[in-house]
Amino acid sequence: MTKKNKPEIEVKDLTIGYGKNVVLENLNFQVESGEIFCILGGSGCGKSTLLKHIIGLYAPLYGDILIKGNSIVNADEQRRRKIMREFGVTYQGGALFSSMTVAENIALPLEEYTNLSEEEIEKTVEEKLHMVDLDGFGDYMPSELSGGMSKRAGLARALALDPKLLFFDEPSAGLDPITSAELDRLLLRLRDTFGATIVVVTHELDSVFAIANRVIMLDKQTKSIMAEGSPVLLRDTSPNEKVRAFLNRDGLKSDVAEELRITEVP
Amino acid sequence: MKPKTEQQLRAISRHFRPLLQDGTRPVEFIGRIAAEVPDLLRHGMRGRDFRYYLDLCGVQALPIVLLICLLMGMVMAINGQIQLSKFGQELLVADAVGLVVVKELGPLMVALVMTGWAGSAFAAEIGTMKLDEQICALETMGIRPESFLVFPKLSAMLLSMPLLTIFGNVAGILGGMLVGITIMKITPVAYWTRTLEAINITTFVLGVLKSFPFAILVTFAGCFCGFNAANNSQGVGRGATKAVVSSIFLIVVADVIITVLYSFIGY
Repeated sequence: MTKKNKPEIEVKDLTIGYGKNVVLENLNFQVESGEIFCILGGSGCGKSTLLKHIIGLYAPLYGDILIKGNSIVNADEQRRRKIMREFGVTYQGGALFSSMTVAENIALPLEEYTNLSEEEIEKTVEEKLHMVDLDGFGDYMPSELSGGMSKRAGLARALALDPKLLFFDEPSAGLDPITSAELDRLLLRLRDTFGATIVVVTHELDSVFAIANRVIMLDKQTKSIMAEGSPVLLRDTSPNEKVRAFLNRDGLKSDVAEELRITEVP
Repeated sequence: MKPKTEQQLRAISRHFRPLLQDGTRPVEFIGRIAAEVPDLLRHGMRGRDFRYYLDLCGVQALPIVLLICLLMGMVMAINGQIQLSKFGQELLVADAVGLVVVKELGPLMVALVMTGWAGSAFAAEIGTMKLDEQICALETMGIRPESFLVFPKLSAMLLSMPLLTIFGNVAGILGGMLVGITIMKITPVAYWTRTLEAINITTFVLGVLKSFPFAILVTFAGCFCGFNAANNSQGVGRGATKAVVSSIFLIVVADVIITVLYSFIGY
């Protein structure tokens, strides 16, 4: 009998919010090693806020978050920074440092935390750029890149220290379907080739069905997790009508049907 | 009666609590940066960033500093000439311009120019970085944004502001001399000799020394307002404005304190 691996992330009794305003409460879930885990929910339900708590940017009102068994909530400043170095984060707009070239952006964590020589850093940067299909763009400034390229460059920077845990905040937002699909393929490659665990905040359903092993769906009204599991199973068999409607885009379909009925000429 | 008093006290405390919190935030900010100084001494800072800010705060700011100080020297000389000519003491214009520029106007004007030139730029840059989640990205890389972004700026300002003050002082004196030569028909040698008699090396050094605290205040105010700017474009604009206004206020307060301290040692 094989011993079950420790989960990469454990969220325990988590309550988050701003000041006295609770956004989500009593959340409990785990992210297993080597899976793509999506956090879903409508706009304003607290997806990105939850992500920022998991990666240690915000302190929760209550509860704990363990990254590879280490609490990021109760860690002191030094320890928290050490935990943060073990994962990579890609932000909505790429969050590239605008005063540095793409290559300098990717080199920054390598310069800060490794003893690699200049040539080795240069080689690693080229490798990472190749991974995200941005060969030859090292000398570009972030302002010269398109939205999709910025996100990929941000991903290359997140991959610089070869983390086994990656977080993505709305990776497909604002991208055309082809670029979005390319990014999905890249995430699958990272999981399958490098065994990375990936947490994605999104509400792009096409992307969710293409890449997610498991999802949690957040509910703004109850401030809690509405459903957890495989996206396909939830879409087809969830007892919760709201979940099925979300995953089937039912709201949109009925709206369109209604519109068609109105405009139909008798 | 009692509950009413309690209610009033609570209302007052509610009103003042945010002010108190606003007051503690700059102290906390300075504390966070100070805590990183030992680490900075061990590892140094990114040379590229330091050179960039040295260029911005030193080389690029030099022409405007020279121009403003030259013009201020001219204005002072013209005004001085009008007053002193009543007593037939036009030559004292050289003393007045030299002393005022070196002791007060040079360091102050340079600090005010740098407030608009660098302080607002620091606030806008950091505010935009916050808006674009670049600050979050630094944090999740395990890098402390406060020290990473403040130290190169602070070092560049500490190096460039005293140098700019020296250049500004010379430009101010030359402005006065220009008026002395062209309007008052004083010979350059006579004007220069009077200036050298009026100021000595101690006066000059004490004036330049003022630029160190001014550099610290402009940098801290600019960076602090950037880090505390609201997460929208208007917030970034307001952050830059706040940086300029608070820098000017802090510089004037510091100038008063330094001048009083200098007066104790007879300068």
